[in-house]
Amino acid sequence: MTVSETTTPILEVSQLRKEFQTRQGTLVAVAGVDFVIDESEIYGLVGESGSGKSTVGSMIVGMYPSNGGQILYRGQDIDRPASKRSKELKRQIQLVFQDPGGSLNPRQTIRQILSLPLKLHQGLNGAALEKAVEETIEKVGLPMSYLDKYPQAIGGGEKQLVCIGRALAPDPSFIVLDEPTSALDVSIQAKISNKLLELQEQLGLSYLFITHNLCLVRNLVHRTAIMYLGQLCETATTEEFFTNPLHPYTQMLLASIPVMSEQEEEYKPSEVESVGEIPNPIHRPDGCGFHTRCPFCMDVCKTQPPTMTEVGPGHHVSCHLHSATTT
Amino acid sequence: MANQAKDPQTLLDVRDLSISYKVYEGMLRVLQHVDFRVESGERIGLVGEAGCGKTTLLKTIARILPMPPARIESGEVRFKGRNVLDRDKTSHRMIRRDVSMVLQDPTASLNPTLTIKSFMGDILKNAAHPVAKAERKQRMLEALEKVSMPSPERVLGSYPVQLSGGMRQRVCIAMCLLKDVDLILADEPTTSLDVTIEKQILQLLNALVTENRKSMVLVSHALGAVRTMTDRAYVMYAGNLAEKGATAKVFECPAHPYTIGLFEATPKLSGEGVSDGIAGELPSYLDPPPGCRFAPRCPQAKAICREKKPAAADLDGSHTVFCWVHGGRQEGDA
Amino acid sequence: MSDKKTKRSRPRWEKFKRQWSKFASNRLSLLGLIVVILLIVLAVFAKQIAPYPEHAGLYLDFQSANQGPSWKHLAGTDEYGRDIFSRMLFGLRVSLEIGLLVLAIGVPIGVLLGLIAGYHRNTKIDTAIMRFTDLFMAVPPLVLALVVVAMATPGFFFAAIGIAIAWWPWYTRLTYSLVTSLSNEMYVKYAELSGASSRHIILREILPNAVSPIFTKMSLDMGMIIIIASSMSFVGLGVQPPAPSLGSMVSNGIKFLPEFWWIPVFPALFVVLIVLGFNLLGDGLRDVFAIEEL
Repeated sequence: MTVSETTTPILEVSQLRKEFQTRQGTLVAVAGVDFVIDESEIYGLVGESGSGKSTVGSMIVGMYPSNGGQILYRGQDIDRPASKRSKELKRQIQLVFQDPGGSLNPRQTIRQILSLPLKLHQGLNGAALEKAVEETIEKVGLPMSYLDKYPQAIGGGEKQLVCIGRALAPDPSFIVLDEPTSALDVSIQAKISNKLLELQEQLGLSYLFITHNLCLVRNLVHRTAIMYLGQLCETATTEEFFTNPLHPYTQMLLASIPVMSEQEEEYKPSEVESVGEIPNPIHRPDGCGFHTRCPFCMDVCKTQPPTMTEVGPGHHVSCHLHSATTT
Repeated sequence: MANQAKDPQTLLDVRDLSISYKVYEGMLRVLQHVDFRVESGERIGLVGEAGCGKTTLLKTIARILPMPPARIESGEVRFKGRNVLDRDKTSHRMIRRDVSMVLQDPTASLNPTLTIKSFMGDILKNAAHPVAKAERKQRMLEALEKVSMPSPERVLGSYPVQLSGGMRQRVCIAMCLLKDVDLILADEPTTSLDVTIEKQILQLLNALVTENRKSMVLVSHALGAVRTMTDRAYVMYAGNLAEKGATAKVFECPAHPYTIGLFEATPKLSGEGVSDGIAGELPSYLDPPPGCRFAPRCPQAKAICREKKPAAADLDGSHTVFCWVHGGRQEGDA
Repeated sequence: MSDKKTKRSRPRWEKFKRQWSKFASNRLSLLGLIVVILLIVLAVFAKQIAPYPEHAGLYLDFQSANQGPSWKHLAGTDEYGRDIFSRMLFGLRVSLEIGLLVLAIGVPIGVLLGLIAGYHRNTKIDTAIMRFTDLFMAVPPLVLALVVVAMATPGFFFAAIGIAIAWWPWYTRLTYSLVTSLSNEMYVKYAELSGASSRHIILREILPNAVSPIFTKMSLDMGMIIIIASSMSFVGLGVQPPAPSLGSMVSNGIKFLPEFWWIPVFPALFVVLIVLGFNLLGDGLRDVFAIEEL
């Protein structure tokens, strides 16, 4: 699992914000997020519920526009809903959802499902369309006979492979994967993860891999970023992230993972007890969003939000413990 | 009756249980000849992936499996010595009183139109030793405090929708405490919760079970949780038992090729990369393969594996595997 | 190419077989289906089956009038000597025709409006269509139909129009709620993100998934429509004499109770049978479509 050699960014996100109006008040789902994904890189975005990670992914694919900040794709500003994006842009950025059952129309055959993106993005028809559909299903490793089946007739892992095929069909450059394996069993997760890696290497794709599963991230992504209550806490290369986690939330999360062997226990930071619950995002705590649960909370944490500081090559933390201007 | 509970007797003894479901295409042979045992005060782990039959097993024990379309082909489930599959009132009442389930989706287990106080009060009213009205609130608050519920007074007056997922699951566990059950069946109790909350809930469950000397069956595909929280573990594949034994042994030296494959497929914090997973797919339950159900996918399969169901092979007293590769009590190859 | 055709029809066929088995396992639904098929056969071949087809129009034979049920006249004769059984069959035909006509007019309009409003929900189009629909729903269907017919000329055609006008709003509302909930499905979102045209999304992604509940409602509605048509002819604003109509047979026959009880009772029981058949069928359809996925 090598870190990408090239450092041309494919996606640059700065100060991204998103708010939703609810009956109880304004919900700040994403509160100012900055990160950069390079070409052919797999970037992991980790967080629990309420972290805003899925919202970030949704904005990138154009489900809705942001309420502030910028999203640059290969230098181009793309911060607008998909209906306002160019055809070319829509072709290049694709999405794989979490629930394979819900992402496939139960009234359409696999063939029809795979034909849609090919027709829309590449304007294929007739024999050329048939050929492209067949190539797609081969690419993800499913038998040809599946083309005439309905989604209910195939298993969860295979449905997800169809979703991946659907994302690959228009020959994209960037895929947002939102919890693509969370609904699947462990042995099938492994197969899908493998396929994703294989395809990424073959086709030089860039992935934004959104998940809450840290063990998966450990083995699959090049860089890892972690979010809490709409803000980025820490980003680093995966190796660095897991061997030297600095943000207290990162440590708490790592310490909470149930692991399978004594050997793995050693990789967990010395017990940072998991306490408290994630606060309601509508009533965000002042200062640092994590301060209500942080064992190292200081006075400044309660009033001032921390800023992202570089603490090592490629390793950034947003925490008063590590900020350049502590106290 | 009270004495029996204190004696070290087998609390739950499932013997040779086979269950089939009737569906349009025929009979699905969901469980085959499963033996399963829980002693008083033991914590048992049940490991397996979707479709292996673990939920069916739990539901059968709790007697909430809908009997058509399900059908018991053979076997019995003895709880405190009594076969609960008999359709008599006493065994029915025994299960209702002494067994409780904590399910994956706490939202589905709690009636959205009742306040927490209502159904906790209900449990206390109908308990084996009904609690007087004056005392009830006190007991409810005690139970909520035992599950580390923040602001218990407020929670009592709330409806389930007003509570977070973690809090709802705590309520479910508190209800088990109120009922003072002997056996808790936890079916993926933390799968729908966040990782940090998951840890808290699992710790809570563990503490309660050990402090009050209750028994627990934990079904989870978070293998790490099973490893740290159970004394003995069973591994199931496609309705059959693959392996069973002391948890430490099963996790340190898994013997069955399925268990080995499963452990290998789990991504590790130590960063060993992504495994290939287990080739192949689950067998058809309508027309299951004659021998070992894992044989079509097994990298170590031999001729006998495809023909005959594997018998138990004792590895060292507290670790048994159902696999011809490890020999068997019948004529198996070395 | 023909190879592909057989492969393509198989998944649909398998699905149909499974649904049929589920449907047929409920005895009542099966009964409903049999009754409905029987009724359709009777209606289509009324001319051939009715022992006295000419009695369906103008016919007088006072000698045979008011005779009770016998082998010659299965349901007896009415005050003009007409065979009630034959008239019932033709009345059935009229009822079914009205039902079909009402659905043929009302359903496409209602569903189309519901699709448009649902897809453009939370916009002015949505508000305009749904408030317009609300207007029609504020009046009870029978009353509205009667008003329409009274303004025009009573008869088969306007009776059907009247009922259709009262009926389409329910389909709009049903379709609207179906479309609204289906729009949240991931596969619809995906099509939107990919830039599929509204036409494609409505017709190929949403509508196929909305068809089942609409179909079920149509079957359940048949019974209700027939009752309303019968009520209208009961008050004289539906099908006009001498054309046979179950409702008018009942209303005219009431004054002959209790001596010549068969004159109103048999047509009334027949209406009950028709409505029951369609309702059982509709219930069966609803059960089948409800748990389709498993």
